[in-house]
Amino acid sequence: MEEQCSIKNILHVEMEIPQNKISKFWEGLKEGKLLATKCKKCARIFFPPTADCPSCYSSDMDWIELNGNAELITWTVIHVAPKSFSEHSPYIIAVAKLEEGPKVMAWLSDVKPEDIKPRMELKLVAKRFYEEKLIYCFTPAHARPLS
Amino acid sequence: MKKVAVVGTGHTKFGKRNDVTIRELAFEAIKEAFEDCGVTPSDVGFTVVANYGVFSEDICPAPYILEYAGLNPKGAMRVEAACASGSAAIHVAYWAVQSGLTDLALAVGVEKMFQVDTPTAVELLGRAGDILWEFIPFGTTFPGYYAMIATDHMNKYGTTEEQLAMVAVKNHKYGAMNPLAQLQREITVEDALKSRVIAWPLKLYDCCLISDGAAAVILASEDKAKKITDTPIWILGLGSATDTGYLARREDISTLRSAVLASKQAYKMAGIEPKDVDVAEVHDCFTIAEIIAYEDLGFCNKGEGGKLIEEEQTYIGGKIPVNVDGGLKSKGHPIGASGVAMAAEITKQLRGEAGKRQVPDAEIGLVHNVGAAGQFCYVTIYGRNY
Repeated sequence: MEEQCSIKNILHVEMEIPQNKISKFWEGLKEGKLLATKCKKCARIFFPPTADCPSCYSSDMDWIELNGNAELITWTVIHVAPKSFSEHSPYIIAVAKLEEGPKVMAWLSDVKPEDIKPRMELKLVAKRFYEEKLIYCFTPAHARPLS
Repeated sequence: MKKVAVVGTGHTKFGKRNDVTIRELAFEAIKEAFEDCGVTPSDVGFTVVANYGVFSEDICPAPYILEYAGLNPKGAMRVEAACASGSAAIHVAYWAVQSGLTDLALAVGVEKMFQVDTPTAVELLGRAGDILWEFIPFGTTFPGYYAMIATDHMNKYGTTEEQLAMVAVKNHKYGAMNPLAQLQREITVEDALKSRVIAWPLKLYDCCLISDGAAAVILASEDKAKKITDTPIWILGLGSATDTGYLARREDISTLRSAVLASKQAYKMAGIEPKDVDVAEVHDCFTIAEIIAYEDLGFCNKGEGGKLIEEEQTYIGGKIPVNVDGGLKSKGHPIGASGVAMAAEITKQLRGEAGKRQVPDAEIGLVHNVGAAGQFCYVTIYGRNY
């Protein structure tokens, strides 16, 4: 095979992503609360929260707490992960519908893939993953946590 | 309405191209397109470059491709619509000609994905999903998105893993007949079912490839087209639509609403129905995506896509031959190039130049090109006659 003639080039990018407009959501998570925004004009609920309503273009939002009750719609088990998640695979990603209406994507924890059934009842809870990352995840509503 | 035709095409071999830069690779496709129709760079009034771009050296590739291919000082832009960037370029080039701003426009798509390792490629592709609420917190991947679409489709309609595998078998069969394809070998249903899991229920053979490649298409006004070629391929209809970036926010995850809407627009503009299409290039980034495309494009009823491939209706000789060039699955999927390459393949089919893979007497062809997981869809209908 012909020897490769090439130039090595490295690009390292680090960024800060502003969350000022929905800082209440992140504060709520720290207390174990799931906070959604609700448009005062059209009553549409947003979770993950948004500061502006695309339906009526109002930015006048209420913050409401979700009860976390959800019903599973679909899921996958990620085996080949992005580089930044390589040490966490395999992991389950699910989409479920919250009792309050919005549909949410999150990891599904504390269940074996073979025990997952469509429409099963889930609970969306605030959770801290691998020390630094605070976010939410689904767990089965009735199952005992796996040891 | 002014007519616009494809008059020239170029299509590099897809695969690993560690021997060239992005400019050199784009040049290969542009040169072939010029040679195909006997025009020169100075005849081009406007150029559109399609490139996703995060895998390769040029962060702003259009100026360097233009300079390298002698296309200065005419106007140009780079477009990005994730995996549908190529079709976006063709739609913009169409507008440039249709509006009368120029009588000859060039759309060139190019991507070099092998310059980074595979986990980095998965990372850079995954970042096309909702960065804030999907990728950063949960490490979503494109196989993962389509796996969730597949799970929903299986639960709703009984679509099986075997039916998904049958799409891969078909596309590999035609890829094996296409000298431009990245993987030129046939596979069996068993090979596909036994392959390793990427994002359950999708396995290796359900997924398209990481690829390098470029393609170019030259569009001309009616007067110009008739002077250049005896076989202009006319653009009969175009449609485009979008859907939410956050996948969960969609009403029905088992369909791509953007594809349904884009195809309806394109059929209406062309004045045809799905049954009038003789050959189609659909966006089979994953096998489930092809099955859903059959349904979204109206080639079968909702939920019957699995049955359509099981009955081999999308092979040559079937009701509607689909991806008879190997598709993204076997021919390869260099992101920015794919939509342009699909147009190049349909042009060959409608000119009757597809050789062993020719769909007999193909008069109307359709290209369905999806960006991300349906965030964008462009449908373009081509005809031998206007």
